[in-house]
Amino acid sequence: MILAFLAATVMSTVGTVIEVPDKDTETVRIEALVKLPTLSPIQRSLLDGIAGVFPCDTATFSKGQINDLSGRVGQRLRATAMDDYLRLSYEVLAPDVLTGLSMVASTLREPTLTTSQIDLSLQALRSRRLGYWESALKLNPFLQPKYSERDITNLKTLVFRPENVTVAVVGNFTPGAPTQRWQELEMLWTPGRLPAPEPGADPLVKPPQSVESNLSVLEFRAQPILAKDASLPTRLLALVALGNGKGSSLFRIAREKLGWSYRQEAVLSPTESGFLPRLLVVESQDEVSSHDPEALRKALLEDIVAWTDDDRKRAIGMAEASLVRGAGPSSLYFLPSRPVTTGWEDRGFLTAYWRLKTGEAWNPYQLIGKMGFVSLEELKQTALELVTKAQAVVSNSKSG
Amino acid sequence: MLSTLVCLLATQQISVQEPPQLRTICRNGAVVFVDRMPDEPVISVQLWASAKSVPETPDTHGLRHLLEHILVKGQAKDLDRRLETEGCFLTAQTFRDAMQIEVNVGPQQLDLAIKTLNELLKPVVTTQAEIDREVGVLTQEFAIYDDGSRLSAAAWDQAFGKDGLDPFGDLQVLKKATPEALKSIQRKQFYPEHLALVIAGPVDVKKATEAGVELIGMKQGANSPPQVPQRSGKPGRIEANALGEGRAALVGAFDSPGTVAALAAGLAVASEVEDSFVTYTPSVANAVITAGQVQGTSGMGRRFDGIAESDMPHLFAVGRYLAKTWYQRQMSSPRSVAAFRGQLLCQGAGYRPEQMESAIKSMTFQAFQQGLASFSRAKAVTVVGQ
Repeated sequence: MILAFLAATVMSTVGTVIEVPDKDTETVRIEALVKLPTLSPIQRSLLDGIAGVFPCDTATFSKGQINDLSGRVGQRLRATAMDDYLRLSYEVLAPDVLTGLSMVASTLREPTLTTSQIDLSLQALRSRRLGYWESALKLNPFLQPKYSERDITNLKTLVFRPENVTVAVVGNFTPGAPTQRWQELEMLWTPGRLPAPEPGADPLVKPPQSVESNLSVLEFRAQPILAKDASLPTRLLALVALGNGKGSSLFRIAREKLGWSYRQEAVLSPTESGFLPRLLVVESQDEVSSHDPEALRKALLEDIVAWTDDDRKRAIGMAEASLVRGAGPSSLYFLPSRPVTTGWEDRGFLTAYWRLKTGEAWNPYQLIGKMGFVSLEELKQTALELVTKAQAVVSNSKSG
Repeated sequence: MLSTLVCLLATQQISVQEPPQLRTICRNGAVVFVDRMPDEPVISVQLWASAKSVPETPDTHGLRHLLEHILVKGQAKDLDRRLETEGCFLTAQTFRDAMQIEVNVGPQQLDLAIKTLNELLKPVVTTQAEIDREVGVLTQEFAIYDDGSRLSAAAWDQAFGKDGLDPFGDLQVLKKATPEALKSIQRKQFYPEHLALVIAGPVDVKKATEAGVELIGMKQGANSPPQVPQRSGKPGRIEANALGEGRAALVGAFDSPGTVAALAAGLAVASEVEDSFVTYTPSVANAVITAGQVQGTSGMGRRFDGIAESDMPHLFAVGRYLAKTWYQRQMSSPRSVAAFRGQLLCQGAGYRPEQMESAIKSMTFQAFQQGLASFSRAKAVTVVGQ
């Protein structure tokens, strides 16, 4: 199923609506992404708690009404908070798209949030068990926040603002109608005065997350990349060469040569200002407590030095396979536990996310084209720097 | 300009005349199915090999999985690297009923996919040292086996005992594997009459069919295809070494009204439970459909037990919609189409996903109620995690 982009309309209040019509579907998926400003660690955790409350009553709609609309297709409004965005995902029958948009806008503009609801949500988060992979991917640990009503109001005012929102609408609808409805809804949305900023925290100095008791995750965290950095294609290509695909250095060394691991991947995680390239190796601790990361670093560096043009071509091919054809795993880990795919279920999210993050339309062909201009020497240099400067982190049951 | 117009018309005429699908049953019993999906960016070429001649037994438990790991490295152990350089990707999976080898290539690369599968059909090249190393990797794989898979495996264990052994395997058996044992498994796994090759994507149906037939249709078959006895399931309760819990309905063939109703019921109820999953691998044999969740220890079972009469109409509407959507998702891309068709065709040349679609469309409210009842404590397998 190929989806055609019809329009990408920049609206007067800076909010963006992207329409992706597809007449073959009976439903419409609405993806609303809210770009997050700098938040303190406590605010981040509070936002996690608020996301857990959604769907909730709003000033216009009851929670029951919101559940009922998506319940007709066996779905519900889902909210996820990452380091750089809050995502509301809502799927409804095609005739309900405009009502669905109203409910999403109302949830962002005028949610009824009580401390008792948030307390319950935070309690669920505290006791929630993350799988080893989601736990390893999560850069910021959940901290139990002490908060007041005022903190909730400030956070809502800071985050839920129309200019922070990018909406993608994917499915069967009349082109132009979602954009027009969102514009009407935005007219009703008058955000409050911005509260004074609270000090932020460097996410990279946080302690590693705990993982399941019999597993450890060995990680190299490289230097972050700014979202609009012109070197992004080169650095992404280096990351793919290092750890994406079964011909990658990480697979050949950590799995085939050393036999340390079944799963090892190169991951591009979202951060507040850009992306964080990471190499992750999952190990069972039944055999050993964990291997020496420096031995792996040394082996990787030796491998990079020996790269030939075949490695460069493989990386470009692998990027093409995953980002254009959906034929292999991708390194774009913009979701909490898995990478984005080229499938229908992620199309709206990726479209909205890339626009929100970089200000540009998602165009994998253009990205692959830029990778084609990266020389072998440039690739090796970038990869060497990535691995050399990376911080080694080992997460296991004893570290959380 | 006129010549361009003539060319365009000719092209259009060809595309209109070309059949979108073609199934070919080869003389040796192998099946080739080509599904033309002209607008897709990828061709998925999938070889499915039925496990009829190599059922899992306690003595061979997991050898097929180990074979899959070693086989797909290719003759020179550099197959992945070669494919990825061309923008292609290979994956493989071992199921109870079959082994799947999937090569995904670009629109002009069908020949490369066929050549790749031809390489994999040659006798596996391996050594004891390689097997030992790969068993180490499998040990690592077992350590990260997810809770949903563990819950589902426990359900199969309760329902079918040694006839439902988890295809992952037994590490103690794997540690005794030899090159000879793997070669023997490979011969039986890839008997031509057990093979189905599905090619889905932007292809010329006739040319793709010819290439497929040349790949698997010319090999000599085994003398006597085995008669596989139908596995017989029983409900009950089992504890699993996993977090979460679930209910598993015992179902028949993929296209039976009861199976489709149970799938719809499982999807409908799971849609109301956080962190839930529904696992079903379409099979012509008896199987289970597991609906579970991985955060608590009672949510799914409690929901199944607490369904009121008044809930039924809504659940029916949602379940029917979700079953239809589930089917549409399976048929939405070259990869998923080839997988769905392949896993059925390797079990019998007459099986088609469309049979399941018909059953979903004709599902009645009464059938759905029976589908819900198949998850009841008395009729289903109750899986309890930690």
